[in-house]
Amino acid sequence: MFNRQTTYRFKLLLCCTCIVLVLLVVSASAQTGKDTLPAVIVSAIKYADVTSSPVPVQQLTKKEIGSLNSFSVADAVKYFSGVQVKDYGGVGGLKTISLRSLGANHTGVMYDGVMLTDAQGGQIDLGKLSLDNIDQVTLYNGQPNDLLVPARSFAYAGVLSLRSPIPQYDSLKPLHVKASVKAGSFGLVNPSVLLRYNFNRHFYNSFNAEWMRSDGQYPYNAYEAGGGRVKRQNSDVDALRLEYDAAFAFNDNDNIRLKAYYYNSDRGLPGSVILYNTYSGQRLKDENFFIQSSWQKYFSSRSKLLLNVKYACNYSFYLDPDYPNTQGKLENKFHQKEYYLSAAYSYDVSKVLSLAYSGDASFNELTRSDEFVLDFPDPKRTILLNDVAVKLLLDKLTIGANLLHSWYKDKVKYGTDGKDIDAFSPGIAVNYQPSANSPLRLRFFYKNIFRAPTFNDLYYTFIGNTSLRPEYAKQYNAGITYKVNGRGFLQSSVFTLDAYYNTVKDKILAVPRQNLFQWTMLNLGKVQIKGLDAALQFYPASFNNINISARLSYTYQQALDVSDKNSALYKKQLPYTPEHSGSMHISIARKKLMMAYNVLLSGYRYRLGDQLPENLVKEWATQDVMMGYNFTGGKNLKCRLFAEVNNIFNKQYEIIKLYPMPGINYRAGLVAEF
Amino acid sequence: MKRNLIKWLLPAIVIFSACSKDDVAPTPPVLSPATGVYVLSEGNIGAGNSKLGFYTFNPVLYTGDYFVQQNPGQTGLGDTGNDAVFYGSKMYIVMNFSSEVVVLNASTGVFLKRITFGTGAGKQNPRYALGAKGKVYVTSTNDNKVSIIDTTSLTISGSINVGANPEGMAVVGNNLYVANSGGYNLVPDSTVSVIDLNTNAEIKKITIGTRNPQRIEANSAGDLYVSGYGNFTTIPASVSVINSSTNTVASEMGAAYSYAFLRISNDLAYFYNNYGGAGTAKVYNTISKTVVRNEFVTDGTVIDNPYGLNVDEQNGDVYITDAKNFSSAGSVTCFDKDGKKKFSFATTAGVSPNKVLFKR
Repeated sequence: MFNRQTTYRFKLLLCCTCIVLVLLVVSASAQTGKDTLPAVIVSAIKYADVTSSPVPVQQLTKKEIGSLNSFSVADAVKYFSGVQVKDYGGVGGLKTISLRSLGANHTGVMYDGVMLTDAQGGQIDLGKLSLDNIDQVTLYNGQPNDLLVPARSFAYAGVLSLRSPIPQYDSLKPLHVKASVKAGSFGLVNPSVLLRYNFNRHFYNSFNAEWMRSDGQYPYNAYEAGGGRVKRQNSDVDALRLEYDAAFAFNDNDNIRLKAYYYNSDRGLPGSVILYNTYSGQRLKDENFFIQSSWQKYFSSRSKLLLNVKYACNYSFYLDPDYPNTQGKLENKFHQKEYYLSAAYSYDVSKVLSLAYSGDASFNELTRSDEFVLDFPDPKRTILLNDVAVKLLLDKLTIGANLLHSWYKDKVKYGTDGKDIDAFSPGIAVNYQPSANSPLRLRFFYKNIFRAPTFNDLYYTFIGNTSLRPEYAKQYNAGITYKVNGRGFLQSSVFTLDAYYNTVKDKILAVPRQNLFQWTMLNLGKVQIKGLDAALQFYPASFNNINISARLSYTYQQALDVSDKNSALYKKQLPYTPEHSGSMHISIARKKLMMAYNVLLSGYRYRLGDQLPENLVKEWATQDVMMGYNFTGGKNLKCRLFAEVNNIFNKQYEIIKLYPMPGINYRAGLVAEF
Repeated sequence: MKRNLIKWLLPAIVIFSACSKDDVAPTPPVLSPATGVYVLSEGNIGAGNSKLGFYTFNPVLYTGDYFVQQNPGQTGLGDTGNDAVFYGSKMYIVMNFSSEVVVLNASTGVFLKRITFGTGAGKQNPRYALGAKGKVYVTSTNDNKVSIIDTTSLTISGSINVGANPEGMAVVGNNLYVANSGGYNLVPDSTVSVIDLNTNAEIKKITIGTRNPQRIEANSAGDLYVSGYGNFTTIPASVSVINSSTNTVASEMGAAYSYAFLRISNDLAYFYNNYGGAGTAKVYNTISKTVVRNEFVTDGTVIDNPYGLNVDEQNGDVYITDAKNFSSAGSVTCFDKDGKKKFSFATTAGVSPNKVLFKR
């Protein structure tokens, strides 16, 4: 259903992308093995510079993650400003991130430099991502600052980057073992083991396995008057994660990494608490596998190449055992596959000017294998992304700019193909230090990017609409950053404040078409977002061996529905968007002992656009405490014992209406390393 | 054995209930004018925000959550109120997702009872109610049955097996007609079950041309009109007519009557689809079998998403509910029988208003 000219352009673009990819690979391999440097492999974690970054960036390091009473990535990102996590409660409940009210589909989630994708629904459940093997969680508004990144990094309104431990090439101690076990309320059992083995000083191997189960039967106050305390039902989860990492470093400037990831889970879908009848029997099984490899090659200190390749397959099996059809059940079995290839090349023309190109090609497909559907369209999607980026690094001024070209093409077995996308998306970010004597910096960024309609948006039985256009998010951000570089008490404290204005147009919404069973997706929504993110990181100097670290974050959001002037919802705050929210973290360590106190706050918000008392979802605050104790045993054994009390005041609250959150609960664990 | 017992008991129950002053429908007398209307808004599935509102004509006043106002001890009506009927002195509200029927005093709205329709995996998800012969009959999608509510004890006294996912019902003489939608199957149903109310057993399944039937209503001549969705793809919505004396299909109304919903009042059928864009309703005289008007509304009044259509039997006023965007308060517009707007009001707090009941 596309004309000849678009086909031609598509083929041309495909050829160009492939040629560039091949050229980069060939030139890289031609130079491999030429200049073998002495094998002193340096591995260091790169920390994001929060103040000099042109785009707002927030980061949690391993140590901070360990003191945040966090179980999954979703728990940790709640401490960032500008973030709303939709949390449906319990360990197994869906948890998605919305950055600055743009919606979950606008945030890319990256694992070790490569995006995790879900072509079907477009949202990543952060509750499924364990923190067990994660050393760094970084959130970028706009995009990462690095030039040497895949083109996909530029293709979202914001990027959440997760990093597993970076390879340690330490030949003196080839075997490293870490074992941990955690247990807690609601039947939580969570053992994990990590084995690291270096065959030699070039070859790093790490294998990590984690198992988690919880019955999820946490008590909450019944919604019906006089209902007393009841337990959440069908909220159990059982999940297994296996991860294998290998890294081979030819030398400092040439290394290959490989990651294989397997996750499977079986969980109940408790659904919302239905008044007067809370039963739910629905189940979801997931199986995710991916293998990705990256090759980073520095031809010189100026000329750098990064290649990535990935294969992913995801299977999800939804079961409603009480569906009133002839079979007495409903099954949805979805299979997704992704093939991905990316090349990025950056070149420093001078100390001031750097240029980069990155090109990505990916292929996604979705199939369905149950008997409960007729003529499933088996959509397939090819995406080509080409990005050019430039970075200017002056004394007081940093400017980063990029232009991304995106090409999407869908193909279906039945029905109409979704529309092709052929779009240029610009972004520019500036950081300016007015005076060399003052650590005050100013920053600005602008980005106009879209999210493509997902397979569900386009092809879902009856509901999907193949004429959907992309949903655009435009972001303007202005901020100040201030870093105390003093030697005194306030050494290395950081303050950032950003104000932003975002608009979303052609927002993809479900709109009733013929009846309640027949909704359709339309590009109808328009949103206007004004917000303020403030963050303070405070690391006072240690005294009497006491180390304190603190973080404070605050978010103000006005996210107005401006879709239809004649609607009652015009200029009303988007559902589930509090005007005020914030977080606080304090940890105090002295010698072997560590204590932390964590607070999350959210103002009131409404579940629907109508701001009526019964749509009100009340404000809430949770307070968590934890304590850790480090000790050693024998020569090499390092242990950490910790205990957490979450929601210490047993606050009964909801993030999503009728999805009660757990009250007070406990976790404790032991980690041993040698 | 059990059935015999019921047979033997049934006349006694009928007589007993007939003696109870409360629970007999007044035999169609001269209706007095309505003093106000109850509006049942479905709310959103899983959101527990069904509302029973009450609108009085004099003074003009709409109470958005009349149920809670009259019953302060109650948390709320429940989840997804799909239908409401008056029978005797009581109002029966069918709560689809809460899987229960809430019984109120019809004139005061005071809570009387919640009748649970199955718990756990046995949740029945009731859909529509109809009062006849001293009982209230309720269809349920999840157990393919019509349950019988005893209107004095307010308990489920029995049930009748019908077809897949039954929806609307109608009564002619001693027979109850049930639309079997089969809407949860890939290939929907296309039958109407005929139930003998003396024996409470299905005596026949009539196969009709309409697929996924939703509503069934009768005129004074005993003709039953059945409307259904079709299959959403290749088969459009349509209307079939059943002759109740032979229990056979009298006619299929064809492509000009592509409507999934209907309401019959004073022998006028209002065919409609609960979606916007294509007008409100077609008016059809079921006795002369002629079209009265292709578009009911004659004064240009626009309804965004016509969702429910209810007729005041006393004066022929037609109340069309507007679900608007299905996520904020809807509205109700009252038209005279000639399709001219008389008044309208917003169903504050009521999302997706559907059923309107007339308080006299």
